[in-house]
Amino acid sequence: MTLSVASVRATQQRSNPIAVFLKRDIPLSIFLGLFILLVVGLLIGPWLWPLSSDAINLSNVLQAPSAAHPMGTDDTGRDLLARFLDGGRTSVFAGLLIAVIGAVLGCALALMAGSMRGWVDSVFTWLTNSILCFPAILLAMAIAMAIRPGVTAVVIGLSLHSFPWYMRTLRSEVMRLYGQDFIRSTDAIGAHPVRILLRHVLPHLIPTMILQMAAVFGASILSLAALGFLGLGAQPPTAEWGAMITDGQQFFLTGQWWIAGFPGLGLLVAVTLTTLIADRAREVLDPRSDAV
Amino acid sequence: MLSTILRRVGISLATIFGASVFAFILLRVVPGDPARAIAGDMATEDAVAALRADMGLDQNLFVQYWRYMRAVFTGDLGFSYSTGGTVNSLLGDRLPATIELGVLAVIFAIGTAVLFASLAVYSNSRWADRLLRTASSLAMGSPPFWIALLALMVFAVQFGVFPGPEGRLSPGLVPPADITGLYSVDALLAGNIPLMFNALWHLVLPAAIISIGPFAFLSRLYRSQLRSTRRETFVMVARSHGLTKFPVFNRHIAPHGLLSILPAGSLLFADLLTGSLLVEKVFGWPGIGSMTADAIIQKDFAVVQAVLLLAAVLYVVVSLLADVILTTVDPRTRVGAR
Repeated sequence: MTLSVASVRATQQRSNPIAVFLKRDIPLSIFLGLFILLVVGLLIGPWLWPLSSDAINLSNVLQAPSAAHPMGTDDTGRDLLARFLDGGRTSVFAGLLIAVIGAVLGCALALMAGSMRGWVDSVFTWLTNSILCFPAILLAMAIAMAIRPGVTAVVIGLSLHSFPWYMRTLRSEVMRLYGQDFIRSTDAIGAHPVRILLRHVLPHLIPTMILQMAAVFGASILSLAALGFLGLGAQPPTAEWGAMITDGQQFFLTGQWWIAGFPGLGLLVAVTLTTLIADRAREVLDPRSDAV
Repeated sequence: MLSTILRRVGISLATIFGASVFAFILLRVVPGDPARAIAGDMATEDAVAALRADMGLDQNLFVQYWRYMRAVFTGDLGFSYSTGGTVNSLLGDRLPATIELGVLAVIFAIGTAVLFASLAVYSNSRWADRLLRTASSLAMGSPPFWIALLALMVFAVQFGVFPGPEGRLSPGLVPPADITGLYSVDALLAGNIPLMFNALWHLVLPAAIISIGPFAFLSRLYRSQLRSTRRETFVMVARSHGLTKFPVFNRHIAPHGLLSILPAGSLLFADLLTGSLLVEKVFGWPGIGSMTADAIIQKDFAVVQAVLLLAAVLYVVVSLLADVILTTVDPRTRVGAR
């Protein structure tokens, strides 16, 4: 008996759970690899591509993509690859920030609501329902108007809309866990409620939370770009994909497709990859569920 | 069943109240002075103070909220300083254009989502299923405003099969007599068939682009509903009674799946509003979306407040309606059932 337990332990230690997870699903590892490549590429962009993102060169305007400027130049002669890399960094950072702020706030509220129940639960549920009545972009637009258009306002607005979303999903998860035997028996042997919450409930929320973070991350970079497009997100001279699409809008219809083309493509690839990763991961984590 | 519905109505009212307070606080506690924005930089301090008193901005927040809600309930949404008219008349002008666009977008979204999800599940082919999931992932990741630009470049500039960003009708055409405000319907009622086709022709491209987002989530939802329903016992029973594959799908699986996408109605509504916020601007469509985008740039508080309130109320009403319909149709959702 002891021998078998020991051998099981040994095999568990030898196999890295993440490696097992990836080996089980080849497309997932491919998507994940591409995504990491994209994010790392954007983060080390300034070292990869030495041209400045806001150096104006009026003798070199509206150049089509070439070896010197792989994504071309815009109407003031700025190198668009450098701007693409800078803009992507803005998006990735803002998206991560929104996903993390929302997760922390939403998780804290969900733990409180799910463990205390009663009026705490009712008040939190009412609060989150009230916020979720507004479309995320409309809320972020209103906040950008109220404070000052910019990435900060958008991050505040989108976080404000993302935490109720986490709270709603995680709350029902917490409630479900509290009904399960292992939590009830931990309670029965006299564990402190806070210990139960942090050591036994919280770890079980992590898979759900990570899946939701992926969804929020993707939706957020899309919303950030949408607000940038409307002139409410990143303000010049900050490079941002949505604002770059606005810059290229007038040239798009006259044949200079590359100004608005590449940022849009970047958005499409980044967000689609996140969606695909979240989808496959959900299936691997819970094979019975059909990805919605 | 009545008590379930009453409870749901109560929750909805509480949610609308919460949302209205939230929207109010958002726009009033913020830095910046609406009175100064309306009066302009050239106005004297006295004039701004008078305007502030006139707008009730010198009162405390509770009084301001009370006044605002009282005005809303008497049907007065305030004054839009950037357009120089009341918000009511502005909404009256703009709402039909967005409704016309939204209705067509809903038809496109539900039609394509149901069709493609049914085909993928019915054919039971791995490739069809993969194709659908890839398409919906791409649709989810596509920025609507960028797709709108692409579509304009391809269909309007290159091929010229759809009109460019010129609004609801070709330049020079006179809108039909105002009956419903929807140009295509009004033109039909007036018996002006060419005008109706012109209006529809202007609608197709923006409506199709707005429907991309809703298509993505509806097709995923419907697909997963169909797949889980297919495993149910009653489907096996129907098959074992000797029914062939198509009638089982058509009569037993599909209606079941359709019922379960009903609760997604409010999300669909929010998606449509988001889509029109982004797409109307590109197409020069004179609807609520472009109005809101302009009002936000102009810091027109009354308009933004009205749009926020309208969005929240409609969202809650749509989800309430969906729930009520579901409760009436599906006995399992009633409290105490099971």
